[in-house]
Amino acid sequence: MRFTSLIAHNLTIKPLRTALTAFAVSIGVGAAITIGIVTHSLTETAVQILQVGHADFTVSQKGVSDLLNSAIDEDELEQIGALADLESIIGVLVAPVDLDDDNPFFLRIGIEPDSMEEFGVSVVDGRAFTPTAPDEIMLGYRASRNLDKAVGDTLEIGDDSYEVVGLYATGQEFGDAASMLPLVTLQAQERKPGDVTLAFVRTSPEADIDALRSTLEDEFPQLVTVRTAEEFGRADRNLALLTAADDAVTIVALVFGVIIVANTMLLTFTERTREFGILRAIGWSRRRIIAMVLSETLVISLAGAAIGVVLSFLAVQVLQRLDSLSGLLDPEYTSDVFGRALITAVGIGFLGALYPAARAASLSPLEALRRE
Amino acid sequence: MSESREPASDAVIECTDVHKRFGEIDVLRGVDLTVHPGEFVSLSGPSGGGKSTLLHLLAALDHATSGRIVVNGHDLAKLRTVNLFRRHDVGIVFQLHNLLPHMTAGRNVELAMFGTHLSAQERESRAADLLDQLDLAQAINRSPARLSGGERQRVAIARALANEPRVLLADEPTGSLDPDASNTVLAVLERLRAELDTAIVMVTHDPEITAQADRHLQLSDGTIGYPETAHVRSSP
Repeated sequence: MRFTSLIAHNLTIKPLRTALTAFAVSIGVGAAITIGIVTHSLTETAVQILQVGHADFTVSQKGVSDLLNSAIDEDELEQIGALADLESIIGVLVAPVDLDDDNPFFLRIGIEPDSMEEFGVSVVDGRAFTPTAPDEIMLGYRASRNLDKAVGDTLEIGDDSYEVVGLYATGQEFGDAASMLPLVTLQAQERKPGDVTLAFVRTSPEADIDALRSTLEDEFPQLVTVRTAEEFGRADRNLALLTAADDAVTIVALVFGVIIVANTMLLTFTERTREFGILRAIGWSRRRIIAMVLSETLVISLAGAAIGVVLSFLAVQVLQRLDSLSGLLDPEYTSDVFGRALITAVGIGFLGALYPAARAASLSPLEALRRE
Repeated sequence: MSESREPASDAVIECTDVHKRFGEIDVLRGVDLTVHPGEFVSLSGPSGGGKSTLLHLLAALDHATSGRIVVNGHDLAKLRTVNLFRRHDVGIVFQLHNLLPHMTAGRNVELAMFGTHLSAQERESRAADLLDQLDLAQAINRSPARLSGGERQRVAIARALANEPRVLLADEPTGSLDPDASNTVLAVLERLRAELDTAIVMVTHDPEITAQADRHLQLSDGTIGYPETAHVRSSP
């Protein structure tokens, strides 16, 4: 009998308890993974908005709860454009609309047609809209496919009808699943004349980008610059809160799991006191007893991690069907997800078993043998 | 374990003025005992007289309050790797066999060999050999619940002998057995002693067993003496 066989054997002595403990771990792991996937997916979605413009950095209003609530005055854009080392700045208005059940978060991007090329937009079919056309729209080629609309078709948005005059590609998935229309048209519809949501800045090749960002934020304290996904929380408090909630849920899940595992292992320890005493009496070292208890717990935890991944997959499937999240969640099951499951499970197993294992190892054999 | 190894001696057990106190009670009061390789010493005495306590001290399951105990060359007071000593130098058989109920007879024996240089296959093979020697080949895959009292004790003896210790300590191993089972266990011990030169110290109240011992000692009031009907066979 190998040591691993012994571990497997011990786990089958009380199969129901083993299964329930693994299930409890899976709840903790599953919760941690689910919230992680949701946060990651929402962050990716939001960051993709920032990345549409292929800019060196993006400017938004400071302190807004949601990036799409950002409002920057076009006059401010002109002042920003006058800063040294700044090559160009493009303002866009971004407004989501509930198109239908399949597209509850369809983005409309208001942009000047002559800025589109610099914005990284290529017209792949038809033509660009005219600068002030009130009823012309372009669809990203993915949106065209999703909505089954081609050049010349009519797209109804609310009470408004638009002619699809062209299809475009940005090389960026999120942008290609959206639509574009003249900036002034969208400003009028959204009743935000002169406002843009975001500004995309390109700097000159020799520019010190970080220094330029500092200068901009000093001179325009109501604005904030964002360059990377990690900085996204600077512009979007909701996402920052969600990220914090993600961390909190992970910690709570970990604590929850540790308590369950520790409770189970302590119960097991009480039941197996005599066994530990016998093993110590026949020459087992403390280290070997600790290794046995920790190994048993780790196996339970890893089984829990596997179940947790499945549970989280199911949970995300359910969340994707919620109206409030429909279209926003694009979950990715990356190695990070599985790494997170593994780390959470190992953490739960190790911390949960540490005390029971230490108690088992520190038992006096005689004291243990006296227990019934 | 070289830190506790004493100079070579003929004896495998040497107790000198061993005292053991539990709170206010002196259970052992100056025990002197010498046991030679292959010797079979039986030990009896009134309940609470310190017999089991002495065995526990010899097995390094407990510490003497004072005095000196040397087993197989190891001064137990200086022992640092107690698990190695318990595994390799002594084997202990308890009155209540103390087998793990959820393991088969074979696996119970194998457990004693974890941590040795033996591979899993070698452990399994050795456990099978030992059980075969104890006429338990047919019981190797049975759990303790499916063994008779005598069979359980023989499995416990096999476990105690798994690492070929120089000393076998047995605490009333036949105490709960019927005469036939008791005789079987005794015959096994006698045979193993002859084959392996293992010294045996056995706590027992069975006169038939004490009659077969090389020496019979009485432990009373915490000291060792010869009973009035002392039976002393020549040392091997």
